[in-house]
Amino acid sequence: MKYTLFSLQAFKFVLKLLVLILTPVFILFYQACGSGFESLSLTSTGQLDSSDIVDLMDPVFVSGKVLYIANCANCHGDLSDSSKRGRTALQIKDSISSEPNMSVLSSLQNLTTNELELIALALNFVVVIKLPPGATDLNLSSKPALGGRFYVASTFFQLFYDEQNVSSADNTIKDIIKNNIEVQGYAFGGSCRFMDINCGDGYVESPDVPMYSKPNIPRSGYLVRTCNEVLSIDKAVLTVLRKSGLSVESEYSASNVQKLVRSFYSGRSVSSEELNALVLVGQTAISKGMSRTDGWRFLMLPMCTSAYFELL
Amino acid sequence: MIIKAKKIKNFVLKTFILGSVTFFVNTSSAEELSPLAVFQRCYSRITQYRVDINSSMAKNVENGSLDPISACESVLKGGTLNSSSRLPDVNNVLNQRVLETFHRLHGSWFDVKWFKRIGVSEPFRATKVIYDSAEPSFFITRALFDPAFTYKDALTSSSVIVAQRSVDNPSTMRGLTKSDFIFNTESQFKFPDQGLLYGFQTMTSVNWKYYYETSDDSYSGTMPVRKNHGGGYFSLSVYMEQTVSDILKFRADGALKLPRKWARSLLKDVLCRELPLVRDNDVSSYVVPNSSIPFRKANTCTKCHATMDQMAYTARGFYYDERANGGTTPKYGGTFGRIYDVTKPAVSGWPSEPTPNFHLTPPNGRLFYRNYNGDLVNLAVSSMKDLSTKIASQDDPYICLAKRYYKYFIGIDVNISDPADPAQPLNMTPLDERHRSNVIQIGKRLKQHLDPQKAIIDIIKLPEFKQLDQTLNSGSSGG
Repeated sequence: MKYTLFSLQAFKFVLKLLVLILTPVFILFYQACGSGFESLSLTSTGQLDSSDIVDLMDPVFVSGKVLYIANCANCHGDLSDSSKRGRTALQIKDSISSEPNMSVLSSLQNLTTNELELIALALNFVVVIKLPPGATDLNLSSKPALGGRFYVASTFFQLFYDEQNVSSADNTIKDIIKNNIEVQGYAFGGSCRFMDINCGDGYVESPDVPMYSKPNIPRSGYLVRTCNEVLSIDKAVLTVLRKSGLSVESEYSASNVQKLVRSFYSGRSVSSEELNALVLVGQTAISKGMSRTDGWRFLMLPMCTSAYFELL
Repeated sequence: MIIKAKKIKNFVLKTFILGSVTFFVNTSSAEELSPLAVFQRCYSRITQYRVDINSSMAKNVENGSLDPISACESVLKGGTLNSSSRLPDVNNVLNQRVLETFHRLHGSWFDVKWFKRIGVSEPFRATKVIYDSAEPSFFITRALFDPAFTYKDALTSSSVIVAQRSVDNPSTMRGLTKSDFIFNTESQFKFPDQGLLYGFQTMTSVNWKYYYETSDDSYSGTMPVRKNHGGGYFSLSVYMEQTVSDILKFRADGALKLPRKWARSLLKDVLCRELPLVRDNDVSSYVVPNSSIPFRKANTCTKCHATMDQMAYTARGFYYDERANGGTTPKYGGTFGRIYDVTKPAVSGWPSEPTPNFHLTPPNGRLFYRNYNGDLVNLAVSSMKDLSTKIASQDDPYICLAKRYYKYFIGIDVNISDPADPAQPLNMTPLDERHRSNVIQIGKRLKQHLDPQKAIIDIIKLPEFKQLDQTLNSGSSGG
């Protein structure tokens, strides 16, 4: 059976992978995914008063936010960094009746008490996202710099594409990288203008595409998918080994895995514990009766899907 | 060779569930990257590609015979243009990537990157192919790579800059040919180059002859298609067309109707600042409680308008001029940004009521904002050209450029707002303050040497650039 992400089985598999591997990325995405989230306070301890905590998808909160955007944001800025954070409904009502530039606006005069309370609720929210047990408590106000589509695609090409001996497998690898990475400007970033035209085949240019993207779920999905699809091709596994000065017969040892780390992460180091864990992956594959190629394949998969692979 | 899904699924899930492989994000704070990783980090930002670790340069960095910062500097300088403002060797893939990367980076900084449809569809379609929408960003890219063009020139030059690209003078553009245009008898009429960027070409403002017929009449004249209405990239016709973003019949009246979106974009693009940019007590003299203009009645709204409206006064003569808007032969003309000639006497100050024929009066305005240091900049300006000169004399545009490169290379978006506005406290951590200080120092040095390449080298020499966790544990703030 050909392994494809479009099968139900594979889809479930990817979902599990996303949950297991990409939770930290997901949280970073949550922090970084829009104007309403960026300056919110987050904590892993949940020490705030529970009455302050609002689910971002809570319809009551959303109603308040919509009212704020329609009536207040023009003068007071985005909700997340509004100059009126903390105001009560009564204070808002007083301002509408007493401030000259507000009292002339009929739309404000028509706001009901209930609507004012919704706006006040939106102005007083705090969001808490609890990290999963064991997850690293990263400083979530930061925004990891991830490579754009050109960078990520070049990384896959450098590792898995055998430019010295191009075969049909390499053409398949090329197509996988192109379809999953090169043309996915919105997921990976990599801006392109109308006259640039040469921005990756099939890519529809848009001035809105950023230079590089923040962590986001489609990006993570495409990355995992590319790793899975490319590494399911034996030639790709053999090419990485060759480029790292190894062969399929090389021993699963820390020193050999270190050579792979150099290829995958360009000079970044990993701990000896991580090296040993990777060695164990290869050895375990063999002990389960799998081939040596599979051993290297499974060893490379977590390296390919890890954040280091896309981190600048 | 394809392997089976079940095998991957079972093995990998067990691997991760048992936790034998950890998630590779190490958050130890002070650890420095290896020289090779530093080189990889800056190489990736300068080229948008991953360094080939088996290249001679990477190997020299790894074995210690080449300093990674020097290696980065060498790669960056590869984008330098010759006296014709063109890459000396356009077939040098690495150097072309360097130029292309910064072209894309600079283009991504702009508040408005595309044209708004002003009138009917035919001129809109034509406008998109007559202009290269990225033209304003060429000023910054040229300042980075052309030794004869400084960043101050980017802020003040009255020229128009077009791109030299791999497809020179294309005969067709998005399905349209030159004969489809009302400019087809104009010898200088050409579509913008397309494809990979090779360099730039300076143009003086160009008037194109046009001629078209309708069922009952014919029309001819000239149109200032490529025009710089003052100085700097923000005075380009194409920049104004993109940012004024008003209706076809727009005419400034000095109060409600002004090209203020242009001014707001200028403040974002050139100064990296968002309104309001002054403090409450700066505008008390501008508040007119009995004005018919709502935003002049109280401080809150006047704070924003005092900065952007008085700046927009310099562009008061702007209007959209549309040609061939349906049923004409040839079919396509375009929408163009033009400036009315001054024919009426000057209007003083900032009137709180509309002024008849305001768009025909001299473009006196005011540069009015609190700078990065909290000092009030309050300068009368007499034109867009004068505005560009006075902006270029401030520290802020240079600090803004440093801030943008800092964000790209270090990953931290530094807040360069007024640090002492009681209405908008910055609430910076010591780490935020350190980043802000870095950016301000680099920006001030840039104002002296005017070479953006040196500013980039200043940034990648910082210890923050070499830290393992530069973008994971560092604080960041907007602005």
